[in-house]
Amino acid sequence: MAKERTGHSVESRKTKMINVVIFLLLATLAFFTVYPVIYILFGSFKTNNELVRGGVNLLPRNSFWTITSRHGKWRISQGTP
Amino acid sequence: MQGIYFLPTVISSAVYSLIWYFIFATYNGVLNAFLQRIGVIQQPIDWLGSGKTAMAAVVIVAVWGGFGNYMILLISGLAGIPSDVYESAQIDGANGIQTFFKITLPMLGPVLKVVIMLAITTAFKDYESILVLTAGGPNNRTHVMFSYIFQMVFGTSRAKTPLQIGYGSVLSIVSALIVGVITIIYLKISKKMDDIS
Repeated sequence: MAKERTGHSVESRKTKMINVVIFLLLATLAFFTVYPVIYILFGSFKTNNELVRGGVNLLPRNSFWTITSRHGKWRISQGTP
Repeated sequence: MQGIYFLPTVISSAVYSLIWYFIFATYNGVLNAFLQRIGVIQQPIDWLGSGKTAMAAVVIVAVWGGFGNYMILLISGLAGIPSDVYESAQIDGANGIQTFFKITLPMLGPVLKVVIMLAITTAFKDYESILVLTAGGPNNRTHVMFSYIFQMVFGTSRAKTPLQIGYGSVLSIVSALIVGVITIIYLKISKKMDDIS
């Protein structure tokens, strides 16, 4: 009985390990699939110079679009504040 | 996660090719910057300008842009396989690999046949990304039939050859015949895949 239970737990642990590996592979694939889209999405907030300079930074240093709040009102303006 | 895999399919091929052009760029591209940062390469690689890597880069972009469509077809094929078959296989003591090769793959046959046929015909005519990424270069190494025809008929900003509209027209008819013949041959060869046994 105890042997059977141990066998079951080994089996379930093996299945769990396989599932984790499959999930990691799929998550990596998903990252590579979505990265170019995210890259261009963040690129839309960058200035031309920053976009052409490239590099691995996703977030813009000098934002082309700026969201500011004045007197409780949000507004989107062009250029850095 | 399926939604993420399908995402590239909804973007225009010219647009995503341009995104990849930025990623593969030699001196300011994301890929070179990333590989240099983690220490895999010391000097930037000219992914789109080198004969060794240009075709691989084009293939990566084509696979990235196309596999969402094929995924949808394969998922619908998988959903069509009755669960009773898997249950009886499990009772008979089949393991995962045996189940895949003896049940899943044969029963996916008809869908797989269509997917492979679509992939073959798409490979022949997927010229937009080639024109954006390499314009057929370096030294015409990344041309497919239709990108070459496009260059002959309409020309590209990077092409050095003069326009040959008549030649391009003949090529388009011949290439359509080639694709048709290859598709017919493939359908004849893959007839076996229709038989689910």
